[in-house]
Amino acid sequence: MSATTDDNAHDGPPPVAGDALAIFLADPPRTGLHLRARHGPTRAAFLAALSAWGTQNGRPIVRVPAAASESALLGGLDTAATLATDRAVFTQGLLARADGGVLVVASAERMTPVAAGHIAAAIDAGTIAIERDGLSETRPARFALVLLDEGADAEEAPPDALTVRCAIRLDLPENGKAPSFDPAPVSASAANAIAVDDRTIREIADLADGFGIADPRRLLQALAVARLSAVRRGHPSIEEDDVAMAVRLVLGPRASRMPHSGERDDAERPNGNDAEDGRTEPRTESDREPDGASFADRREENDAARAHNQMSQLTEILVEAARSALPDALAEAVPKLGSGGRSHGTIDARRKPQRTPRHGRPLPARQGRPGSDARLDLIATLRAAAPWQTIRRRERAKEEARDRILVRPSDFRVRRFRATPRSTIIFVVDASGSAALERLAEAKGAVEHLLAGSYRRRDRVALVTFRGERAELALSPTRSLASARRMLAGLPGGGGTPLAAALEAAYDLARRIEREDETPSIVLLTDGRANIARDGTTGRKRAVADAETVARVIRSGGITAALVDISARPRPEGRSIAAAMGARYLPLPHAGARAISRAVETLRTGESETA
Amino acid sequence: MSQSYPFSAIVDQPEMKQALLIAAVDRGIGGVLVFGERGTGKSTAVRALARVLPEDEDTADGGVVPVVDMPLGVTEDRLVGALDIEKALTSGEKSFQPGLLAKADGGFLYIDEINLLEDYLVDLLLDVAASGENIVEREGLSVRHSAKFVLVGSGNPEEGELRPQLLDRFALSVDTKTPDSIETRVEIVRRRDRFDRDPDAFVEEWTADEQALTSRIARARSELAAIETPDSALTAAARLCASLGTDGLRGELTLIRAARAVAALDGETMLTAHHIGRVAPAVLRHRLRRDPLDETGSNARIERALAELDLS
Repeated sequence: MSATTDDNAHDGPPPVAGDALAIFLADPPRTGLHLRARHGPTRAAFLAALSAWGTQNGRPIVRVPAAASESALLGGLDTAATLATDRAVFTQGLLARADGGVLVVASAERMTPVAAGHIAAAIDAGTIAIERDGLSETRPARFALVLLDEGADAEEAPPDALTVRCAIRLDLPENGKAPSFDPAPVSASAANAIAVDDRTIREIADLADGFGIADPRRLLQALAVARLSAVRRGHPSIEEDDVAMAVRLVLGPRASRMPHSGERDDAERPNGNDAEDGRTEPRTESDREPDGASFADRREENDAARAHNQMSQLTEILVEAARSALPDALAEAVPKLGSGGRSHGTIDARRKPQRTPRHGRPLPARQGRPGSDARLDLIATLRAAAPWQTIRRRERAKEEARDRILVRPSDFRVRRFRATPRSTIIFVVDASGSAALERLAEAKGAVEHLLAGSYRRRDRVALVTFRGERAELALSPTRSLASARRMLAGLPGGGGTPLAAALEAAYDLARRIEREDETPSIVLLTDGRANIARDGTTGRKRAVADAETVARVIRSGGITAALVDISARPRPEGRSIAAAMGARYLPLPHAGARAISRAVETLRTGESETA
Repeated sequence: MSQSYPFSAIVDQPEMKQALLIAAVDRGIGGVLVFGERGTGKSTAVRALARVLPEDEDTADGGVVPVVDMPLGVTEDRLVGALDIEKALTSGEKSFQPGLLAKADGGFLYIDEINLLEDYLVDLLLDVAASGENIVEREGLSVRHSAKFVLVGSGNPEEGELRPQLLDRFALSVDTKTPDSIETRVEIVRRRDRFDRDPDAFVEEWTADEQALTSRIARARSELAAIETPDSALTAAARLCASLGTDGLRGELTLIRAARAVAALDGETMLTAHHIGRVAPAVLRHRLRRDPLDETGSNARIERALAELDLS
């Protein structure tokens, strides 16, 4: 086993995928595997090797769809069996079924936080505690986790609760030769026997620190992988190439920064090719890096951010000034675009029809007829019927079998939910030279002020910034205002105005939010002076035309929007973009408080404003 | 059941450990909220606490203080209790099946990811925790039973904050952070690794410390009532709250109560301003009128106030 691996390791690219699988499938499997790959031959080969291992060893491989409901995960009441017998019969959930084997989460990037929470809790405890449908019990659920992540970009990732529990992170190339896997699993008990001295732990901790990883959990994972790697290679203790393996599979892919170049020659670092690989890998695998941005770019950005920090005191003052200048009514009004103010108007006609809420905060079950829009609440129905059983049996003792539950139509109860309208506000902030020179700090202040309002309503916020040649998603939808503030504070200004790219990014994000069943709205802060076209070329005319095209797409997508004009003297460009987008047009305070309140008033009443 | 990691072996995080011990000594104090990044040992600490709690004759389960872990997908009827459907089906009898709140009576109820829980469930939990009584009026049942428990919630602020209205209903709130020093991280990894590889031996090693902690909690509990509270300490608490502008008396009362528990844990007989200063961040952090965007504001303001009043 060790011989073949060693041979391969020295010529050509090392078979990381094979190592990853062998280490992941240590017997019993304990680590998690975050596999980022699209459908394709490589992924198929990988999964085939996994299921071959399952069949050979008689281990269950249980696949969980991302949309798995709580009752599917945990188990729940079996309707048919419950009605057939007169006892409550429960089915086993997916988590309990995976006990002793592997749980494979498909399309993990779409998994809900609640489902992820259940899986995470099961991993931590090795059991699942079920407290639902009148059932209260604990079942064993020891399994290893595989996340199949098909996220389109780095922002579309599985919930943190799951990714932090995966020791190994592997990115498989979409095209390319299917690697051969050597899934000869490593013995976990042999790994257990490998002693680790403090020097090794210290080395791993230092390495991790160099990569910007502080979480002790990651260190433990790195240590575990290094141990398993030592067993796989037949080392009596953890050696440098085992640490290198831990870097490749655990630390490198999660790096948020690179170790200082001065440390490169440090004697304690892993040497040779492996170290080099560890360094280069994060270029393509980094967790948080938007596509296409290399580390060199990021370093430049860091420098820019540092320079920016020196100005931050000045910025703070400007932000304060803007905050006091911004009418409160505006802050209150803008998010109304998202939820409250869309009962009438032209845009609303294109919205999806309102459904009877199928999820949200559960309300007490109500008497009624189950149908397509109302699900039967079986437990509540049985509960309603239960007290009458003795009486009904007595009434009908003759003609009906005595061992059946007598349910009358009046017992039917249906589930009810109160949908909590969740909305996400996408702030699109112009950080270009033209805007920055004049009012970037004030725009930041305005965003912060609006953020505080959305905090009160528990909305999510996202931040798209644009400057230079491209727009970037600075902050994925989040409820954490702390991170929004952090992003905003470090936002550098200057460069061109790629308005079309920004609107496109906002539109893509809005569609993604809609898929998550939330209502997006876009708040665009700009001076409207686009000068970079969609393809990155300079030229005001095409840039404006492109921006208007994308704006019209947003309008036809039925996404509510507002444009806050941050130029000192509002000019027609902003207004015409707003019109194309079907957005409310709100010039910032210089236009006069009265104009703002009037705009706000029209927002409140939902009348369409003639731009 | 598998071994749980010993409380005494938890590295760093002194504020979190102190808050949990305060709640262990004075269970009437109210809930504890632990907010922090992943991997800072929040869940480990709460689960470890169960092993060091002294036995208590008042609880139903043979003196063992319950620490109930609330699963994320819990339904309201399993929480508060509901009609026992099995009995109703088989014998047509209307009887009450107690829920998790009844199980947690006399002990701790732990909720991980409390910020992901529906607000109405958090509301309900806080109401019951405050009144010490669970009242069920549903499905023709009318039941009330004692439900005195300490609510311990934890969460990761990156995934969303708790509604501000709920925040100040927790007595103590602590922030956990990933340790800055590499030495501390190495120590965490070293201990955890030894525990993972041979839990029995590791737990055995810490038995003496755990027992010492248990008797320290038990002693503190019995001494708690006897601790003198001089006017100087009351004045210090009042001046601190006044200078920070916290609303209402709740903060002040909790401050005194938590400080007394700390004094009892220290084996002292007199409450001093020093004790107040030690618990002030945990008691007041979440009670300040705050700018929701200001992340570090609360801690800095409390520290400044403590320094000004010479309490730190």
